[in-house]
Formats: sequence, C-alpha cells, structure tokens
Amino acid sequence: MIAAPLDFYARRADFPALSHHAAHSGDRRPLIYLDHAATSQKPQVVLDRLMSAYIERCANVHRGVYAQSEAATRDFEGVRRQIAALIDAPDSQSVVFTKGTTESMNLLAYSLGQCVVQPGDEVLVTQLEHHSNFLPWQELARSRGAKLVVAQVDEHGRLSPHAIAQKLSTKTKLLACTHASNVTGELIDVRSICQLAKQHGTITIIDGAQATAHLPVSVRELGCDFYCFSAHKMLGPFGVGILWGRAALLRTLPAWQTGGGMVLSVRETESDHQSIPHRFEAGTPAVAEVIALGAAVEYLQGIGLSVIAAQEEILRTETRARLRQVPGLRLIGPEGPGVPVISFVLDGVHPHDVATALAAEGIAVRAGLHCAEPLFAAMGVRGSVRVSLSFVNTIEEIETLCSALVRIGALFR
Amino acid sequence: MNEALAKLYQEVILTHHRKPHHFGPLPDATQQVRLVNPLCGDEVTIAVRIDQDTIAACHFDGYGCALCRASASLLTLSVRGQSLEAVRALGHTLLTFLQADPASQTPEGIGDLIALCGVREHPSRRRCATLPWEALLTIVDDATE
Repeated sequence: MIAAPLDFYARRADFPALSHHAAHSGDRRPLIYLDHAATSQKPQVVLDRLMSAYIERCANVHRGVYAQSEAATRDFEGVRRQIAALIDAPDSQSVVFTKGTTESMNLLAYSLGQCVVQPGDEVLVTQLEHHSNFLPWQELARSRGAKLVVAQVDEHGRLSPHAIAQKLSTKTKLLACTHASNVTGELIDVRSICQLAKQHGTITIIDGAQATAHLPVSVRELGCDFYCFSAHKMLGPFGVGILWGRAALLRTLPAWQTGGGMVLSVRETESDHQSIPHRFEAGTPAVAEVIALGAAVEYLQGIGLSVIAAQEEILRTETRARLRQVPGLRLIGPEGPGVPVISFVLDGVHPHDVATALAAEGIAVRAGLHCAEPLFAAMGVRGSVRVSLSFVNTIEEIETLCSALVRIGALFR
Repeated sequence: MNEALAKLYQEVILTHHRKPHHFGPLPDATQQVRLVNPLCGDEVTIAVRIDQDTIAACHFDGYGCALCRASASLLTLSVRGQSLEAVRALGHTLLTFLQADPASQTPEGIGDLIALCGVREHPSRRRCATLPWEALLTIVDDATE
C-alpha cells in the first residue's frame, strides 16, 4: 500500500458524528460510516459556523439596513465568491443558490428547457444518471413534444464519449450528463463530451453532486455550460444546492419561480425581474446554511482537493482489492478512474439483507437501486450494496467491513 | 450475530428464505397480483386458485430479500384451504401487528407468522414483510367485492 499523503486519522476528530456510537448495534463501537455518497458527515467548523450564523446574524439577506442583516448579506455573498473560486468559475454572479442538485436540474429543465427545446428537438441524457438528472429531462421532453434520447453504457456500466457521440446530432439541444456515477463511482470524461457537444451546438449540463467533495473541479477546463451540485454531499449543510451557468447563457434565461427578492419593480399588471443570480433566487434563501457552506469550502481547500483525491484513490483501490477477497462478492461497474463509490453484490444474499446485517454491526452502507434504475436495467443487475468513502475512512474500517461480509455470506446461504 | 439481528433473521426466516414453499408460477391460478416496493425494486406476485370462496392453492413468485421471500413462503402455507373471510382477517391482524410498537402484545392465531415480528424494530424493512400480504389482501378484496 502506498503511503497516505497526510495523516488523515487526525482529521477524523474534526467530525463529531464519527465518534458517536452506532445506533442499531447496541454496543459501544463507533459508527463506521460508508455512505458519503448519500450525504457527507459535517466537520465541527461547519456546525460552529451554522450556529454562529443563527446567533450572530440571524437576519434576512439583501433587505435589512441593520448590522445583522448587513453582516448576513456580506457573508452570504462571500460564499458565492468562494463557490466560484472552488469550481474555477470566471465570475460569481453566475453562481445561483438553490435547494440542491435536484432543484438546480429542475430549474434548468424549466427555464432553459422552455427557451431552447422545441417540438421535434432532442434532449440527450445517459443511462448512468441519477433520477434527479433524468426525470426533469424526461418530463421536459414529454411536455415540449421533444424526444428524450438516452446514451447507452456498456455491460459494465461504462459510459464512453463515443456513446455520446453516436447520439449527438444537430437536433440535440441539451445534453445532461453526470461527472461521476453515484452507483459505480465511474469518473466521466466530461471534457471530451463537452467538446463533442459543442460541435453540434448542444448546451451541456453536468451533474457534479458526486464530484465536488472528491476532486478539484474547473468548469473552465471541463468546458460545460452548466454545473450543478449539493452542499450536503461536500461537508456542508442540508438544503443548499448550487447551479453554476455560463453568464452569457444564464442571463438569457427567464425566472422559474417568482416572489420576493427576484424583482426590480412590481406593478399591477407586470414586473421587472432582477439580473443574475438574484433572478433565480425567489424567496428567502437558506441564509445560515449557505454561510456554513463557506466553512465547508474552507475546510476542503485547507486540506486541498488534490490531496483529498490522492488519499481517496488509495482508499478506493485498497477497498476494491479487499472486497474482491470476500467469497461470492462481485464488484459492479467498470475498472478505471473514479470517485470512492463502490457497488457490489454478494452471491445469494439480497443487498437489503446485507445492509441490514451490516447496520447491526454499526456499519452504514446503502442498498438498492440508488435512484438509478436505468443503469441497473442496462447492467442486468437487480440492485447492489454501495460503499461510498471519504478521506476520513480508514483501512481498519474496511477490514471490519470485509470480515462482516464474510460472516453475512455464510449466514444467509 | 447480535440480538436485534437474530430476532429479525430467525432460523424460521432463514429456512424459508433458503428453501421457500410454493415458489414459482401457479399454472391454474384464478387471480394474481404483482406488487413492487419502490425503495428497493423488489417485486412479488401472489397467485391463488379460488374455489367456492376458499383458497385452494397459493404460490408466490418474484425477486425479493430474505424477509420478503420468507413472508411470502409463510403466507402460502397459512392461507391454503382457508376461506376468503378468514384470510382477510388474518392478513389485517398480521399487518396491524407488524406495524405496531415492538412492545405490543402478540395477537392470537398468527401461528408461525410470529417469526416476522423482528421487522417491527426495523421500520425501513417492514414493507419487505408486508408486501406479499398487501398483494394477497388486494386479491381477497377484489374477489369479495
């Protein structure tokens, strides 16, 4: 095993949830959390920032003239700039705060979709997508009389730029594709895919929900038009998502929700809307949660996303190797670059039975179809157990997992 | 295996999971219903042959976890030869029991189905055990309308 780039054991102490006892096990063992793809645990600095935002600046943004409101506004807008820097965006006005990746996608399907998709056009997605980057486009195509085209994965679930190229044409108005699979962890060659799309004048929308906590992201390098992700999967609070869009394109889009905060003036019969990003932020945003997201970004950048990526690659490789030693265990998904998300099936044992039996030992994993039914149908698999890691996980935890899996296999067969 | 897990996966459950009774299609079925659990994608089909308001034969088919398979297998044994009214009463008694607080009393007349009691302490797994019974009750309700 290659030496880890940092002492990540020390980092575990930053996450209070990791020293809590596992709820189901009834013993004193700490939780072994292997479900980071569902939501990440939160470091103390994020919890502290959240608490201080509620205590010291619990005020609405862009409205009050008193100190708390001005401080909240300053911090809130500061996080917008932090996010722009995190994803290497050219400016912060093209960073929109939403409720989560799902809302970001729905915003685009509504606002962008109504602008650019006409009857007879095509909207391209892939079999690899999470339902939240599949259903909004399926619904858009249905409502606009357009055709939803689905790029195919191979039998291992691998999505190649070639599979996208086969489906692209001048009719393809939009392409929605994930940056990393929430089932197999496969990292997609988004840069090549965006170059291909550009040749056909296709607008590209990338789901970065599984990427931003695990690797450096540069929307400039990727060359995409839109990039969406969630705060809660990158050490931040629940209820906050990000939609980044190329400013020139974002400016052309109409509001998708109307209400306070997104208007310039309102008359009885018509109104004038704000410019970006506020046009897309109707109503009171999750002020304290956005402010706390700033602490998560600082924490990730304090370690360095390249360092995190290197550490997690060691963990991912080791975990895959050790899982392969478990009798009757089969890994699902392609070999190759990925984020630390690993799916498998255990011969003769249903994934939910595996997950319940692991939970009894204080090990949190996810089982089922992981909101990605089209992918499972394409791979001919009925469901999987998913282990999703973060830099705070240890090889000892993986050893505990693997020995539990050996016992579980023997119990059910 | 710890206590909670041992209660959930009792030997009766594991035995029925490994070798389920009446698993597979029922060729001369008069009614069948297929239900899907959207959480996990599991599906179960309950097929029956009803003869003069009595369940003459009952099979199950589909894909499910140990709890779902065992529940369906136990179901096929406990409803065979029973009247539709008796099956309806049994089904409702069992569903109420499985959805009740883990400390609640065990109702009379559920026999081997008591082995399913462990799901009461695992709310996320309750539906695994109830799915076959929901399918059966749909059949019974339709047949007696």
